Amino acid sequence: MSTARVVIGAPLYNHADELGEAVESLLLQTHQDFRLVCVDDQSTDGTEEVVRDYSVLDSRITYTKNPRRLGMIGNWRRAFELALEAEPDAEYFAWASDHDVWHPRWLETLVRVLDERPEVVLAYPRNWRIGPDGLMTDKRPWEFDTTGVENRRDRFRRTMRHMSAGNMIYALGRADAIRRAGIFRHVLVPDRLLLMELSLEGQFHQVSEMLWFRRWYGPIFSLGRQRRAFFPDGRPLYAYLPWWIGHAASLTWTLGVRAERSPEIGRVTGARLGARYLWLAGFLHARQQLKQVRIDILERAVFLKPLYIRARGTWRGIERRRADTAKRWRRSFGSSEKRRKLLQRVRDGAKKRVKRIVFPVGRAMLQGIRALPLMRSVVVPWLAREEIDQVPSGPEVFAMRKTIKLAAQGDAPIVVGPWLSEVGFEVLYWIPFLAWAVEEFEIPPERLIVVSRGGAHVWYRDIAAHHADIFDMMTVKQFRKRNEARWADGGNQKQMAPAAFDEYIVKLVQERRGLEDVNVLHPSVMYRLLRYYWYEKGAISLLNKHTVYRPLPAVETEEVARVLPSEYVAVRFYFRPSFPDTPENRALVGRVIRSLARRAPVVLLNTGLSLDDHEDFHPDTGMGIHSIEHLMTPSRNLAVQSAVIAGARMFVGTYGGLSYLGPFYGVPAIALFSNEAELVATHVDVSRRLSRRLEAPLVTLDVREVAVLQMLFDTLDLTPATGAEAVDSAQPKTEHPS
Amino acid sequence: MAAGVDPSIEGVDSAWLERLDTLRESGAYRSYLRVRREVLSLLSLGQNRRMTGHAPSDYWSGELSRFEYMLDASPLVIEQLRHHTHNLTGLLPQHYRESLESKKTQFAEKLAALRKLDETGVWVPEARQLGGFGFDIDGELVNIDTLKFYEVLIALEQGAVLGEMREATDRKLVWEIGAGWGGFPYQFKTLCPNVTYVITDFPELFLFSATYLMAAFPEARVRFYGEVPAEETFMGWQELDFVFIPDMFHAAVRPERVDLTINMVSFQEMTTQQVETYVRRAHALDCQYLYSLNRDRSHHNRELSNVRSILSQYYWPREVPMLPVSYTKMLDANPDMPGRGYKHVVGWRRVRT
Repeated sequence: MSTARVVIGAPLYNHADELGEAVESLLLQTHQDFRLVCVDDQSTDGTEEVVRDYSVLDSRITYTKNPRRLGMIGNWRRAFELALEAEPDAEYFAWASDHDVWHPRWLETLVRVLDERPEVVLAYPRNWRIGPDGLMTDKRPWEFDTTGVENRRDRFRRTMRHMSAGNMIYALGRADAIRRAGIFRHVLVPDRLLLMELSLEGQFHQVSEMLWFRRWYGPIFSLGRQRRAFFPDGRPLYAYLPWWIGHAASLTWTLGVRAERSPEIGRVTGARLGARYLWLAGFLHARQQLKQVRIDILERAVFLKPLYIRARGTWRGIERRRADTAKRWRRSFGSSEKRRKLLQRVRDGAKKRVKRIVFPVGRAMLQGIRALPLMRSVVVPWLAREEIDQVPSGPEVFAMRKTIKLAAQGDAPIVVGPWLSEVGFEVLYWIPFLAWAVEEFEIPPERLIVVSRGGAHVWYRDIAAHHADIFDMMTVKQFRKRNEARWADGGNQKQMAPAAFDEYIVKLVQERRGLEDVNVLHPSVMYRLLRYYWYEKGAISLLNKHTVYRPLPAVETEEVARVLPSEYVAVRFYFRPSFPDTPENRALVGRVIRSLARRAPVVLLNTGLSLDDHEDFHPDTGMGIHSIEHLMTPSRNLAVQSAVIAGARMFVGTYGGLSYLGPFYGVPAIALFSNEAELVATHVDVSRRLSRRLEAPLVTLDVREVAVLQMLFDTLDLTPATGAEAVDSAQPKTEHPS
Repeated sequence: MAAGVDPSIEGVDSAWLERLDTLRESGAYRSYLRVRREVLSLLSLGQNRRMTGHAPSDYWSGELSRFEYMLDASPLVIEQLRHHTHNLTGLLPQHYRESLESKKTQFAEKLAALRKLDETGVWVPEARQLGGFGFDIDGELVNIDTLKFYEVLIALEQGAVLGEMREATDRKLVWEIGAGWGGFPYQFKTLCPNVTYVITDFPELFLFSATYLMAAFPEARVRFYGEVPAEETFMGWQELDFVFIPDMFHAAVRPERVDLTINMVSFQEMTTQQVETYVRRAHALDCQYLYSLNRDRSHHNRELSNVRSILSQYYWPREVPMLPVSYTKMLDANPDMPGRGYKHVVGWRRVRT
């Protein structure tokens, strides 16, 4: 009873001289479980004797002689049919030529591939060419593979463009897939068509070893030869059509009309595949023909040759100059960073130009569509309800979601950050964005490692279970130097893309924690998305949909409480473009602090550290004014400031940065500015919305409205009434009484 | 003078004596002592067989007599064993002085050309131990033998043989006929640790090859013919790393399997009968592959028909193309005359002979 898993069909025709070596190499296969079915198409040399001699030695060989000459297609089909008749349960099938040689591990290796990868329908090795004398030629082996390409259309396209049909047709394939693909259809170049149809069945896998030695007799391919060899009983008319038209027609007929591969491939898809084949093959064929025409013309019209050579020389000159320019360009922009920036500029410019051309056309089309009654009455109002103004950020939303989804996949730890830019953006946008992302993508806190600086991890406690502080990994000086270099390279502080410094920090975190693989959720995801809102290209809903504003987790205040009065006002003034360093502003800040101190103890949040680009204002400390600089260290200054704000009755300071913290801790805040032109309206808007949502006032005030300020302070009901008493009460606890 | 002190070394610097003592205790010298004992034993075993037709040719008799001194080599000789392999290869350290810059450039060019052919990384440089020498190219020693062996490894790789040996999960047995000073077995074993390497050669040559390999692989398990009864030579062969069989006894042992037979540059020097005996033996042992780096026939050898035609009777020969010049030449030399150069041939066993 036949039980072989593999059956090999060998169509034979007049290769008696090489047949012995071919058969022996098959008999020596380390995978012994196969049957070799030889089908002789009326050979006139000693083919029959050679096979019969071996079939006496080995019972796995069977020999059949066709009663009449069938031609190549007929013989290949018959080899398949007889092979599967002999071994109806065989899983795998391969055609074997009568003149090539197979390495002893050829079958073993390919069977293993098909056994282990159910998605693969065809497996083949790399191969050497050998000459008639057995000498291996020095032509480099070909390579083609569609492993991992799950999309059927992609496989189809790749196979069309890159297959090496003459080699791949001798692969080991799944017998049922080959049968479904039509075996060998009666067309010219039938191996290409079969492989195209097989590409629809599954993936092709090439093993990297050289396990097949293909005998090469030189370039003997010709359509005339195929017509003679394929159709011994006379050539049908369609054999004179270009082969690719025949293939396209065959595909359309079998897939589109007869729907032979339904339901996997429906009629419409089948017809489209036929059309696609026609287009792709036609294009490739035309290109090849043009090349041939050029060769033919130059062979016949010799007088054109000098012209051609000159034109070719000119073209090569242009190419050379282009290469020289590229070389000079590389020299001028030696550093990869410079190149990257220039490329970015060029790319942005190109995008703008394309937009300039495409957008008006698109807009005109849209206007045309919108003019349709149905659109005007139903679709447009619906779209308007769906906030059509978010359209510009659509791709970015998609990209953002994809990035977070990728980061959330698997079990690897996720490094969140590193956050290297302003405190304000971190508090106002990054943390709410993360809170949304963690909920939306159901990321467990245990996987998250927040990387920030200055003890900012206290803000992330309800999001991430782990944190790493940059100042634990480098000094303030090192951080400033490298971060400023990053700003210089990127043009500003915003982390629009991961920079080398970001990657360096992630590596440090990996090393410190002994992590081999981590996913990274970089702030650029948030920056790139929300910029549409900041620059007023996207609606507030863009922000609302991708953030969760909620109070920050409670911060440990015990340590600072020991050195502070029981009630106090937290103050942080520094100069920035919206609140520049002018004599008027200095005087105002002095007045405000003194005025506050008369009503309640004032705690200055100055760090005494040069951590960022903000220059602290240092008022003279005096009665009722406390400094906590002695508590500040690089790795905890933000944690200390948070603790102070969280325990304060009120926060007063420069608009931006820490002023947003107040509402997050339920503490009223007053934020001053003097140059409104330097404010970003959307941030102010968010700060107001934030204050409403968290039910803690954040008042942004122009310093010119002093009267309003005065009124505000007058209405404050702070106890104890004087700063002196407050200081007295704090005196025993403080190490540095003012 | 103290009693018992050798008068010939009286007054010699004690540091020098200490160095000699250290060398005497070295692993390489101890290996040599074991090899010498085995070689002397093999020579005495083989005396009768040599008288009955297994004697080396006149050419080889002359060659062997040139390094008879190796039967009583000092620790200093063993320390620089590679310098003494010139008796087999003709190569000396002074041929590779760093001052020979143009020659070094030629070696570097040839090495670069071979690296282009090497797709899987089979390069193994000359080992520095026991006086290894060569041009220092990128921190690695390169000499003509190193390049030859590299060519052979590339040919074996391209002939789809070496991959099987490198990735072998079951133990393989490789038989080299004529391993010279042991350079190729060193490279092969470095690349393919899971093989048992059998060397058939004149016993005198084991003084070089066995000593060198035992020093290169101090942990290697080695067996010499005659250490156990002949029929047990390959008992437990999977546990052995190197087995040394003298030429006159190769027919007296039968390994369970042979996966690859190798011959480099010695078939061409043998008679037709000798080559046929070896090839037939490999075939009879069911050896799947036979690799040969030989010319069809040395021009002075009138007793050999044609290496390739003899191979073809038992193996399907597959010639692997390599550089346009033979391993003995540099790239700028004239290409080999057709049919005259060394050929890398990988043979596959024939079912029917």
